[in-house]
Amino acid sequence: MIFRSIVAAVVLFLIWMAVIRYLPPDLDSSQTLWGENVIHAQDYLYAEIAPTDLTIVGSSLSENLTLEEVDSRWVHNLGFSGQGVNDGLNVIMGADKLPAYVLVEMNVILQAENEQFKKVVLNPAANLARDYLPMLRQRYQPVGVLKGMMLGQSTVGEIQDSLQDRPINQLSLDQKIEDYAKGVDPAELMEVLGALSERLRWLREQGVRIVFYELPVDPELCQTPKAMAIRKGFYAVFPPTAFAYIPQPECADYATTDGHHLGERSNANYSDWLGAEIAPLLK
Amino acid sequence: MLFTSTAFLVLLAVTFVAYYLLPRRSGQVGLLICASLVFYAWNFPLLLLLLIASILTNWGITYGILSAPDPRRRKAFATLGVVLNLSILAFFKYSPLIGETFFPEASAIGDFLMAIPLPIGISFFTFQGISLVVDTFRGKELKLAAATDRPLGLLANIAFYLAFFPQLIAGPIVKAHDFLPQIRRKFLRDIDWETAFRYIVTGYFLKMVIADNLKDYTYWMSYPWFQNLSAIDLLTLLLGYSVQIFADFAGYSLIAIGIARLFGYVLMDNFDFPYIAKSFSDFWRRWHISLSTFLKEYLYFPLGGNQHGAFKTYRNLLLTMVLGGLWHGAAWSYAVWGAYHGMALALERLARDRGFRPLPSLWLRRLWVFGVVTVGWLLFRLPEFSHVVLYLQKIFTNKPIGNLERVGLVLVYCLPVVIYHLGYLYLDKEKPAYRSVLQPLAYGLMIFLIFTNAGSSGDFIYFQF
Repeated sequence: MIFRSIVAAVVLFLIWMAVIRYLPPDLDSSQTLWGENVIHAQDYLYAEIAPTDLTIVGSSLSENLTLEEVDSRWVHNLGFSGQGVNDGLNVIMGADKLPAYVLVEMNVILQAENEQFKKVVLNPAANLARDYLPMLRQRYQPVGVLKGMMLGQSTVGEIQDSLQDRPINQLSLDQKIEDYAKGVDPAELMEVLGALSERLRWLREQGVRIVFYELPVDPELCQTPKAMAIRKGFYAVFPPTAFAYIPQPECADYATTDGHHLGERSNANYSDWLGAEIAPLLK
Repeated sequence: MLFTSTAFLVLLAVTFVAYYLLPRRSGQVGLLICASLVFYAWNFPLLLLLLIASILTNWGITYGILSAPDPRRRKAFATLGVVLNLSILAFFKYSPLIGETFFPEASAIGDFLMAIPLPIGISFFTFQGISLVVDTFRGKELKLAAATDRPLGLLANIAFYLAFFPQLIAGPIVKAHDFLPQIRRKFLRDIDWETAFRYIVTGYFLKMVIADNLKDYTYWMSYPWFQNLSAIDLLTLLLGYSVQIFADFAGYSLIAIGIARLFGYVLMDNFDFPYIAKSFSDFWRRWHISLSTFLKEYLYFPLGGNQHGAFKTYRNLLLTMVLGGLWHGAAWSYAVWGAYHGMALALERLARDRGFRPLPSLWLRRLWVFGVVTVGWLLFRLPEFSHVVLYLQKIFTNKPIGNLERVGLVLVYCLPVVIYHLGYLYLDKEKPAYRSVLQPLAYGLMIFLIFTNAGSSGDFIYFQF
């Protein structure tokens, strides 16, 4: 029975290896937010990264950006739901494939890095196996592929599922207003930014250029003690004289769903605006 | 150390090879004790002190019982053993609950009690300690000669019994009278490979493919997120959580039993297709069997069981289940969950005693039991009782239809567990077609999905207990 079971498994592996070769490259096979994060990270790890490309690192605020290309350079988005800048930097540094520019989100900087994510995505043995056997990648999970084939591109993720006109979004905004009014612990902020500066210093030594950007959020949050303290902290650790910044645009021009995440139209508008702001920096 | 981690697989492989190269029983036991201590200490080495303290305490008590000259002193030792084991459990597990409930906020004692950490697996190895003490007192298996002639041999056997790594952290709760007689020299040729393979593959499949995937959906059952969901989402996630908790815990138990088999030890089955139970008493004969039999043997029977009239039987059922509920976690919601099941058992018994059978169809009875059990899991998922009520309320007040993609995916991950139960009911396992085609295909498919469709790795739910 054991031998037959193993033979059956090997046959299934071979069939699946053949099937995934014929799947459309843009098939949406993500099943959960975690899975989507892993797919984005693995896409980066196993993709060709041109030395002129740009890579975004950030939280779910950045994940939804629709910026794909700036001035004929590809943009790789390593914004992760429920995670932060450090998770994206881990992927870039673990991939050993450096882009020309790294765009660093400033908003959710206090999010600690996700150790579990790092273990899953950057495990050397598993990575080697996934490099040679794409069927082991998150993108090719059979249930996700089946879902993608049945639903095409019309999937609805959890983020979009909790959009406006729901009482919980007001609750979420209220909590953020309360949290942002408290400010941040200066020591904690400096510790986080200090650790970030170490990583960015290494990237700069490799020739990567760093650009900081701050997404618009609900106008009630933009000038709160926490938002201002983070901004001030960034300017202190990464002086604008040495680093490029794309400051937050007028928050009132954008609408969010829960105080943090841009609504669909605002997201598209901000992505276009951000692309236009970045373009001159690339010249 | 997680069963799904690389570190564990390395430890298992090294231990397995070394185990069968050793020529003596004592060497094999010693190796498994060392491997178990490494397994337990892997993430929090300091906790090893507690496990060692528990081993030494139970050894001292057992030695005392075995060498005491008269029954009164033996009983005193046994009582002391039970009290010490329960005290260790109570101190580490229930201090935060006591601190939170009985002491005002910011009081020094309250803060101290709240800060006491919960050592992993404590509920399991202290219960095994109680089993050891009680079984020794009752004269099961441990003989006087073992204690008086070879106290260090006794210590090794007790350390092995309490710390054996496959079942150390989340069971099955092994009873001393089942385990200790199995300790002898083991040979590679005696391994029942097919049984071990079936347990391990099914266990990893249930954990990695079913439970770990469902976990990322049932996350949305947390407060306040569930308030956003439609009625069908809320119901499907509840079903998903019911399947997840089964797959997670049964998966762990199956892996533990399968690995124990590789070392020549037979651990009792912990799950017997619980979601086809046709009554609540049937459910408890099938769910977490090692705990329910433990509670029956060491709590329900000593309380008098069903031997002293109807009222005392209902009282004993309720008390046993409330304490069983509290065993799961230091929160009042677990006691409520235990009382919920205790009442279901008592009412079922009352109905049976009165000859009242409202559901004549077997399948309706199964669905009723499954439904009641599934709603009860909300008390596990949402520790605040008010959130449980709110969740149930939202099922009736939120819009009926929501994210059908999520509903579909949750149902897809529930399906294998449904098939697993139906297969048990309807498949003829003696048919040649089953053994030669269907069974290898099923196990082949499970292996394939373990490698290609595993969810994000997470702790086993029962680790927190």
